[in-house]
Amino acid sequence: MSTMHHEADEGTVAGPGGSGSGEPILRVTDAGRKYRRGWALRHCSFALQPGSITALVGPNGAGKSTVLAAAAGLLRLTEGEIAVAGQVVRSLPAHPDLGYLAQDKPLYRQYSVADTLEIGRHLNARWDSALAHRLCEDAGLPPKARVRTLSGGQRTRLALALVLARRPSIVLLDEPLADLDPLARREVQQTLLAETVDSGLTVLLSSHIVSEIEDACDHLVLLTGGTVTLQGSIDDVVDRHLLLTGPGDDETGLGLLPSADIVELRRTPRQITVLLDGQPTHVPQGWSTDRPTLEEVVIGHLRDARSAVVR
Amino acid sequence: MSAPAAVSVPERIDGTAPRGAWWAAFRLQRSSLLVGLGVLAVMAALVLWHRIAVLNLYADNGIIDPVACQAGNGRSVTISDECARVLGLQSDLAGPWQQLKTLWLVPSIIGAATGAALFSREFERRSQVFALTQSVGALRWFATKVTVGLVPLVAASIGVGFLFEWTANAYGVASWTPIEAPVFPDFGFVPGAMLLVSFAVGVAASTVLRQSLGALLVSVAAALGLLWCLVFGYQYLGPVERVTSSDLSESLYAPPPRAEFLGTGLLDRTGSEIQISYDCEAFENARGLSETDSVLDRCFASQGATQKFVDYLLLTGRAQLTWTLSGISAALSALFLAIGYALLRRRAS
Amino acid sequence: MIDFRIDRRAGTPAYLQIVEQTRQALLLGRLQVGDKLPTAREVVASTAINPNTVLKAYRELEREGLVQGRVGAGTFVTRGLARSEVDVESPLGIALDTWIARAKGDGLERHELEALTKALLDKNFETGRS
Repeated sequence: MSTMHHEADEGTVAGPGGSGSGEPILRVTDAGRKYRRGWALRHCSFALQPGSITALVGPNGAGKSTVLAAAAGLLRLTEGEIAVAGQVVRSLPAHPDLGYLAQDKPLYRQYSVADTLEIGRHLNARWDSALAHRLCEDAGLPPKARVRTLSGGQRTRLALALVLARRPSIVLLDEPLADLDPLARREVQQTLLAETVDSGLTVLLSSHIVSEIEDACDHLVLLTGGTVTLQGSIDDVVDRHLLLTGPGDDETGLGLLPSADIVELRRTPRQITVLLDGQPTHVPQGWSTDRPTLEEVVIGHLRDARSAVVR
Repeated sequence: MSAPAAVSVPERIDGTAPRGAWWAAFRLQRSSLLVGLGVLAVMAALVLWHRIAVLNLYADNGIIDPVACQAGNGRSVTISDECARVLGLQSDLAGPWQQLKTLWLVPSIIGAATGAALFSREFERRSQVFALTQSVGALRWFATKVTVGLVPLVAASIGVGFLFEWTANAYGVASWTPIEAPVFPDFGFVPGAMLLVSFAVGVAASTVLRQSLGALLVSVAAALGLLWCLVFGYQYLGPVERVTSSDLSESLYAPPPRAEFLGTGLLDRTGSEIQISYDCEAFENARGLSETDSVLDRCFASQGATQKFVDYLLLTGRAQLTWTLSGISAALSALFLAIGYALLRRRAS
Repeated sequence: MIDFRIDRRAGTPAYLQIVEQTRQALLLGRLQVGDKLPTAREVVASTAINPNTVLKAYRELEREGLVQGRVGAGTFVTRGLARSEVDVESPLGIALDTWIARAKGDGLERHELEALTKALLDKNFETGRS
């Protein structure tokens, strides 16, 4: 049996299943951030319940990094507000219960792993040295190795150790798995999720690839063009949608479907495929229904958002 | 100030007391601090060695008060035979030390270089994002880094400044002596003030350019520009003493003891300074060196000059000038540091 | 202790894969009454799936009465599914083993044997899982 820190009672770990219960640990309200080029984020609102692991998904440039950096206090919002554990983020330092890891995993590259941990210890009011050292040991990081000599995966694990050693109750990870090889990707996920079980940590991690983080997350926030277009528990989001397939010439059948709910419509000469956000009152004759995968739902919404912009 | 981390959660799971941002800032700047302090230490050693060598020279020749050897009252100077001999020897000694006074460049360059590296290297590696996402606020982190980088260097260069002043005072200041002795920009608080303002310029450059080589070049150039302003401008800021001759034939020589010679020139009938040309007809007819002085006087007189003057800075005036300059430096530094902080905060992510 | 394998490409949700793998281990006797299931942390640390998925699977197993969570101790098997017939040492198991040995002797490859048994199983259990 491997290392076990807390024999957590499986049945009572507070999951996000009890949704809507209590104060959200992160609440983004109508957040907007304007740059010279235009709005990077606009009318963005979502909330995270404690203990949830949420995928912040969206294409590049959708505003994922912007909303995460704003929640960490690194950049100011042009409008709206973000509250961490009920406290509105106004300036630095960020809320003591919040951990943030930028996409490029910034660290002082010229220092050793041991020095980096010391710097982390001194820069934080709350610091779990034992955890930091254990995570580095698990990652096989030689204490004397300079940060700049570490591989991408090792650097990510060191950066993650520094974030987790602050004992945050929520962590925001900006594309933590980008640029990692499959093994490192898996190990980072394993480390992160294992710590989540012990501490009931809330996690928000961004990615532009749904399948990469689908299994690790229980909630989804889909961001397109700076706005949230889909959010909720992954099960609910998938259950809410229906994939219908009908004959290619059945325009009457298609006409029976509630057009307002159609997320995506694809045609081939033989077949019409419709992704529906909602359940039809009845399925047209000769049509079959399927439960879509999360990826199909997300891709459908992304295409929908893109065509909305084109229109 | 034992717990600089800014959050209100005192809990530390590892149980050790935080030495905090001070420790981290020191750890990050240790090597550049050591280099800066090392250079200043070498500078101090050179000055000290120079002082000892010159004073030994006088002592070996039986002169107890070297200041008396070269100090006049502004009008005339009497140099004893011993003094004349020692001044000659001092001239030989001076050879390699001719450039000693150019050491006033050093504190400014140290300040500009360390200031320029302070945040530009963070921006290059984006490590400011790391620092600013720990429990330390942006202002606190900025102030801590600036303090840790600045205070030891400013303190050391003030020390060097007083060493210079002490050395210069030991054998009189007047810079017309064969020795290129330290002059005002080396004295007392001035090197510290110049280091401070160069450092602040460097910090501003490092947050504007966010690139270390560019920041270094810009801030060294700016620091040298500021020094140029100081070297050529300080005499206009301070209480300058002026001695004037009764007529053109009177000779004017050494300034009073421990005063710094600033310059000499000619005045017209109304007492205002005039620029004169040496392109006089009188020179054509001059016969030999003995007549040159009177020929020159005639030449000046033909252009309207009636008096000669000598300007110098007295020891008493120097203190006032130092405070004025320190105040200007502090105000400029505050401005540049404010720019640096605003940009660090704005470009945190 | 059993080790769960999550197949991301399988259409089955991850929590159902855990439930099915537990059931199978119970059927084959690899898990017996009193055995402890891995903690959520252990499952998560080896599979990199969401901890709540593991909890959901364990709740489902609990609902079926196969396991029980004990506060502070872990999740334990409370009911076995293994029947004496489902054992390689049982008469049926031995008979199948002899048959496989014969088939192998006749030169059948593993995949051919699998295809053959699957075809016969499908024939005999018409309502097999789709």
